[in-house]
Amino acid sequence: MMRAVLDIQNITVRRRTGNIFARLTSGRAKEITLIEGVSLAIPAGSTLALVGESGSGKTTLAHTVVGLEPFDEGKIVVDGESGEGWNLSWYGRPWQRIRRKIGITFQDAVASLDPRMTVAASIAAPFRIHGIRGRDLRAEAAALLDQVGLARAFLDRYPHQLSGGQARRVSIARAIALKPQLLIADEPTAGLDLSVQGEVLNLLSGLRTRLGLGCLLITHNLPVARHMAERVAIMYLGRIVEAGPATAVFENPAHPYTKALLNARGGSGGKRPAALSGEVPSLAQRPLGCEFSTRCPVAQQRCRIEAPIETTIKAGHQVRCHFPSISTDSQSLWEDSRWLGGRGAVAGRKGARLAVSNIRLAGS
Amino acid sequence: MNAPLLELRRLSVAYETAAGPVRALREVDMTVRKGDIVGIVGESGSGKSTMVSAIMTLLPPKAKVGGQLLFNGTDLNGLSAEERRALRGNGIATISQDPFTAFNPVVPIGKQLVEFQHWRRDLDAAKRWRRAEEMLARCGLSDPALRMRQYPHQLSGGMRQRIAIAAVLLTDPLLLIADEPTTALDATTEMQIIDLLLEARSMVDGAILFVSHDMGLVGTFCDRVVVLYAGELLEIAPVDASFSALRHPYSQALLACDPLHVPLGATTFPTISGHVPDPLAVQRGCAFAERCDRRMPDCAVQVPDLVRFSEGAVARCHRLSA
Repeated sequence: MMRAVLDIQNITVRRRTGNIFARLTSGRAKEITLIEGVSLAIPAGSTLALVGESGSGKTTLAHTVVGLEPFDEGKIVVDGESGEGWNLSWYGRPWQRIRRKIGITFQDAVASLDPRMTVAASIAAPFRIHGIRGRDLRAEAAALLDQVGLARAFLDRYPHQLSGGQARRVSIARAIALKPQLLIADEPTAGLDLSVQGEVLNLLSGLRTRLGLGCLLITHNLPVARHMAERVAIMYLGRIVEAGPATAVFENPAHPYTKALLNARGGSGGKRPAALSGEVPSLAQRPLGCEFSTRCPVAQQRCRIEAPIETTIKAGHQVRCHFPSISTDSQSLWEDSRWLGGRGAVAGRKGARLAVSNIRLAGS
Repeated sequence: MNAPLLELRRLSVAYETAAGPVRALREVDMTVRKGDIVGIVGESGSGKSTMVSAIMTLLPPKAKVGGQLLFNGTDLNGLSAEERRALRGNGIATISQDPFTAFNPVVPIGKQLVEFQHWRRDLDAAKRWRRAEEMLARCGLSDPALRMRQYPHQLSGGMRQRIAIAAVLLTDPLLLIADEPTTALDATTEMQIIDLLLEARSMVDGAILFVSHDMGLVGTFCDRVVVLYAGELLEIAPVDASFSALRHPYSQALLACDPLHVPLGATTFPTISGHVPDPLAVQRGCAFAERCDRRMPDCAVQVPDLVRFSEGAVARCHRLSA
């Protein structure tokens, strides 16, 4: 396996809530956990899609990687350089060196460009910020625009003169300005018309191969994830509930949440399974046990008490569920999970406490 | 065949700007009957919103409206401001795209739902309150009595959209316009709202216009689709999940762009090259000609006529008229 360009190890992000007055009067600060124990690795030149609904922590994780948000536990290693010692005070020399290796495009491309800076100034900003001197910045900007398929005429335009797709291209140009090894694309197709979405995705895949970029693609669009990524990680309420090779996750989803997501947008036929009931719980009231148990169609008593730990069901395919469905035949997925569920319930009644042991599953 | 509920006859909307006239909607013909569920699809700048505003009689005063817009036989363009107001929220109701701004943030939900029923003079306040509570329960909200006392900020996006649908159903509209009702919602919540709208079909004694840019949703929800492009009607066709009845090159290209329809293993995503034509430009030929991969010499110089294939299936394309 190639060296990981990004290695996230057990990252946890917590935030205190309430204003200072509430904290003082209640005596104790309330904490919510935005991201809990997330580990991910992206080998050089490969793409990982991070999929989840809003509030699942995708964007927070991306911001943590580029240092826009501090984290409380864990370690982030970018291209072999770990952030030891500076993970709580992000600024300073070592951080700047690491930051150069990461390019990021934000969700709202138009808002991520300074409205008072021309396109040329925005694209050249990384050079100035990182103190790279002795280059013709305008020529660099023009070359970068060329790479993202925009004409030189755009150099002197301002963000308000750009369409959504053009702004997206400019933000990609800025992200690749310093020849990073990792590109983080946060919802690259959000708010774009269908006919333009394809252009941006084609541009991203082209750059990826041409520059050998590792890519963290954040999206809630499953078909996009399936086409663009080698690996997929599904997030729910700050945890990764399933991760694996794209084909494995899409063809044999093991977690009930992954299945619900696939059903929600994949089912174009007339026969569509019932929509998932309820809504994503509030982070302030994280469910006990498994986070998904409040909405899960196959939840058992055990799920509401005990949080499942990560289990490997096949090489490189992990799932965080007490009763995952493992099958090569997608038709029998649900039967499988019911069977496993039944077994779990019987074991519970006999008083054979399963403690924290996870069920050993085929192939692990 | 019942009488048309809504009829657009060569409806045009234009704005006078410093740079010249902008034609936002060009001679659109469309008929909607009772019981119809019609999807309106188009990219940004296609005229979807202009069309909805025109039907809601909410166009800005400086808009120049041509043609006829018949609702239940009366031309909406000729109505006085007072008559138009009476129609909105009574004959015609909308579910907006953004459930976060649809309600007054400083008034409890219950009070707002009671206010929406102001035209029901036969009911007193208590009856209106009870009717609202029942409707919330029918729309799948847990604990409706509590929701009635809550403020909008205490509810999630999915709940607010359910309440917005309940509010619309309370008015017994003849025409319900759902303007991208699920774009602000998550995938799993989106499906719940679509299920609710499917149920609402039976509660609405009229027609539903479903505005969307998501072809997949239109396929699951609607009977017919209206495809708009650059202010022009390009196609009306019956739909099902497979969209086999779409004839126009633009409709087909748009469908192919949906990542859901891209075959697995494809290395590139299909796109429609070029841009939507400048709204200020004088139209010569087909609006889509410049970006069409099946264009003929005629397309650039002559505006194609609407070709009628059957009841509720028309398309505007030279290739199809041959």
